[in-house]
Formats: sequence, structure tokens, C-alpha cells
Amino acid sequence: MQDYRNIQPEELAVDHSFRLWKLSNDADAGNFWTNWLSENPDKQDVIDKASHLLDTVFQAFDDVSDDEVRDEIDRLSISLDQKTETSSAKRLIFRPEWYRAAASILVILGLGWWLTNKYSPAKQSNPLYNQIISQIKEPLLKAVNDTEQPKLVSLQDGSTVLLQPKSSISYPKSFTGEKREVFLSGEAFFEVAKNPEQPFYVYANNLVTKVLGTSFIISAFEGNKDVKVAVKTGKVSVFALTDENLETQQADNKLGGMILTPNQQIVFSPKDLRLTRSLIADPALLDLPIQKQSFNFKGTPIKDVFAALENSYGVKILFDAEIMKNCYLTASLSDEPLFEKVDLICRTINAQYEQLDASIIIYSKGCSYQNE
Amino acid sequence: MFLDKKQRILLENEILLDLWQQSKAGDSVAFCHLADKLYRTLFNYATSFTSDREYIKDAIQELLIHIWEKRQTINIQFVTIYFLKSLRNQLLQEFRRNKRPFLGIDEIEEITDNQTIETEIEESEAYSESQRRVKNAINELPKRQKEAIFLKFYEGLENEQIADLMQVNRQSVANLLFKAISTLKSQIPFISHWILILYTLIY
Repeated sequence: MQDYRNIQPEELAVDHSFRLWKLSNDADAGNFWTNWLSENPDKQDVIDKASHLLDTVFQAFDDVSDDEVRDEIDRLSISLDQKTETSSAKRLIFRPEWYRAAASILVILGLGWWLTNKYSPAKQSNPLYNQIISQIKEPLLKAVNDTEQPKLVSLQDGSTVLLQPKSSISYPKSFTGEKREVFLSGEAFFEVAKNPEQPFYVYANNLVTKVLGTSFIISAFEGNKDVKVAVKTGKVSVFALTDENLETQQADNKLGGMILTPNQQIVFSPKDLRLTRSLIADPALLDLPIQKQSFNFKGTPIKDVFAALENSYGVKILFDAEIMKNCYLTASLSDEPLFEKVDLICRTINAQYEQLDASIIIYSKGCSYQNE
Repeated sequence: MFLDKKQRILLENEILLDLWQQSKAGDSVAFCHLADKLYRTLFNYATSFTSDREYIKDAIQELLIHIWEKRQTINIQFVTIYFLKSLRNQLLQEFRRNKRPFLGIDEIEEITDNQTIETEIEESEAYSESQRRVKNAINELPKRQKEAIFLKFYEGLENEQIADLMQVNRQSVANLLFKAISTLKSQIPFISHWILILYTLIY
């Protein structure tokens, strides 16, 4: 053990255990120095000077805010993601203009069980649910997926929900109010049509996720008491369902509460309404088939493009393969809603589409040139 | 009794190395974790070289992505030092290539001028007058002295590690630190009584 009796402030400022105490709040080091001070009360002055020197140096050099650091790490994580994606397919052409407009969000919520009481969301313990539900004038529809395959549910506003097995969702027939509100149990992939005027809310187990547009995934299964929200790209805000929060959150169209940005996740404990934010430790959480599906096309025959969409969304796309045999697509699609994707594709190859139940019908006169 | 200094440093390095090993195996989340832990140090270190904050951010992004891409071929022993050293090399290379000058006195004036009224108010409230004087004094040090002060007092590195990073010998590090402290001493009265002892510490 070093003898600190004769130490000078500037030596102390570079002493490792002293720094642990001052800079890292290390408990062991803290005990040691508290003891040492009580044995050497005359050295208070040295300690103060050394602390002062450290404070000063840190202030002199610390030139970056927490927000800036977070933004930069987000930026890094997006770059790394793109690096991984683009290693197989090149990102191309008409991306810039609309990609930004459709810039979107992928969120997974591993939710508790509040709606698992399948047929009556009203039985919830939190009285706020009843209040929210009672304010929705339109009757709530309910979609249940008892199959082994994902099931596509389209909402009136153009948003789509890819409902995973053993999941259900309640939603109004049309969104007439100032908000779009849905209630989920289980897991679903959301692609929310962008509409900043009418924010989109997902309620589950005392946790509210608010989005102004775009896409995310939620899962809420029985037995999972803790709620997890993970963001892949874009931004959402998450807050506990309390009176106070609801009022402030619904007062404006900004994203308040705890903001989640890419590769951050939140763990929500409904019991004590506590939110903990961290980086995603388990990337598998974001590992849904739809995300693995690459929507980068380069001179891809249109039948392959449609096959990719059919696979990812579980929809049937009807088209005349013979007429469209000369149609090729070069595009990089992302997380915009399915119908936006279809619309973009149709515009690119000069076709029209129509939605009929769970099928999409493509009308095309064929392509006379190879669309590059 | 707690671990001695060497053990502690090794332990901290161990944690970072762990993240690095995961990164190396292709875990980009672990790499972001690691970057998150190192970011502040890297950014603040870079301010010894330039006052252009956006330039620093881009340089660090570039560095991190480069390290990520080359991760298979990189072997790291001391994580923080490796990253600091890489950042230093990259900055110096770019300066050389672009003939971009190091931070000059004029640029320093500029930073001070550009501070918003808000930060100034915050600062005047949060920091004592003497702390602000030290801050200014440190910012006005020649860049290599500022760098040495950063590595010694902010990072808590040994002179030997500083020498390795700055690619000079230990004597030069001692000289740099001595000059820096002398300058600070002449401008800041409360440091002055340390100086004699510091002399012995540095050598």
C-alpha cells in the first residue's frame, strides 16, 4: 500500500485509486479515501486541491454533450447496419427522395399480457384503458391470428400490421379522432402510414408507444411480465400509461416521453412503472423474417420482386407473368407500408394495382423496355 | 483491500477487451457499446488537434467504421490506447494530406466567440472564476502541451504510455508537461505552489 501522507495534489490527481473514487464513484476506493481522510484530517486540503484540479481539467476538456455522443453512436450503428446489408446487394437509385419521406421505425415490444384476455380489453386493471377505449367512437374490430403463419391486417389509414402467430389486435374500423389507437396482444410488425397530424399509439401492458409514422414490431405474450421495446431504425417515444403522461403526450404532436433511437431498447417493468434504457444486447430481438428479407433489387425480374413481397407479408400478388415478363425492377425498398411499396413498384414499371381482400392485383400492359 | 493500480487498469481493459472480442466476432451492437464507452475520450482528445467539432465527429465516425471493417486483422492489447493512437494517426495523416493547419491561436479565439450566450451563462453559474481561468489557460497552451496535459490528467496515463502515443521519448513528455504546468502556473496563482514538487514528479 502506497503511503499517501506526503503526496501532493497533482500526484493525487493522477493516482489511480483517487481517480476511481472521484471519477468512477468506485465503492472500494471511496471507502478507502473516507477512512484515510478520517485518519489524516490535516490532508483535507490536499484532497480538495486534487479534486479541484481534476474538475478543472475535465471541464477544460469535456467538450461534447451526452446528446451528441448518443447521436454519433446512433449514426455509427446505422452505418454498420448498412455495411452489413450492402455487402450482399448494392443500394441504388430512387432511394434518396422518398426514402427520407418514408424514413421509418422498427420497434419490437416484448409486451406483457394485458390484452391476452383475448376478447375483452375492457377487463384491464388500469382504468385508463377503459377511458381510452370509451373515447373511441368507432366500434373496435379484432383480428386474431390462430395460425402458424403471419397474417396481414390492413388498417383504414393505409397502415399495415403483420400479425404474428398467437397474437391479436384491436383497432377501430376507421381512425376518426385526433389519434390513431390500437391495442395489441402478442407480436406484430407495424408499418404505419406517415401522418404527423394524427399520431399512432400502440397500447400494451401499461406502456404506450407513440409514433408519427412508419414501422415497428410489437410482441406481447402471456407470461412475459417485462415489456421490451427495441428500435431498429428511426425514432419512437415510449411512456408509462398514467394520467399525467397521457395528458402531456397527447397535448402535442411531438415525440415526448423516453425517446428511443436505433439499437436502443427499453425494458419496462409494469409493476413499478419503471423504464430502463440501454443498447440492444440481444440483436436477435430484431431478427424477424421480414427484416432479414432484403428489398434491394437490381434489374430483378418482376416475378421475383412479387415473390419476395408475398413471402414477407403473406399476401397473394396476382399478375400476368407472361405480359410482365419483360419488367425488371431496380430499387431499394425499406420499411414503408406494404401498399406504399407496391405503389412505388407500380409507378416504376408503369402499372396499377388494386387490393382485394388479402390479395393484390397488378394491372400492367407489360414493359416494352428493360427498366434499369 | 482494493486492487492495486495495475490490476485495476487491467480489469477495466478486460471489460473493453471483452466488448472488442465480441465485436471481432461480428457483433455490431457490442461494437457500438464499445464506441459508446470510448467516445467521450476520443472526442475530447481530438480537441487537442482541432477546434472544428463537426470535423472531429466525422473523423471519429470514419475511424470507428474503419476499425470495424478491419476488425479481423486487428489485435488489441490495451483498448483505450489503441483507439487514441489510431485517432491520432488518422488526424495527423489527414492534416498532412489536406495541408490543414493544426489548431492555431486564432481558432481558439473563434471557439470562445462562438459560444452561445446560453452556454456562457451556464458556465458562469456552474464554474468558479478560477476554474474558468484554468480552462482558458489550458486552451491557450501549445497543442502538444495541451495533448500531454490531456493524456496525463484527463486520461491518467503514465508518462511512458504518453511517450508511446505521442511518439516521443519520456524526457520529452516530461518537458512538455513541465512547460505546460509552468505556463499554467504563471497564469493561475493557485497552481503556483505545486510547481516545485511537480518538477520532481515529472522527472
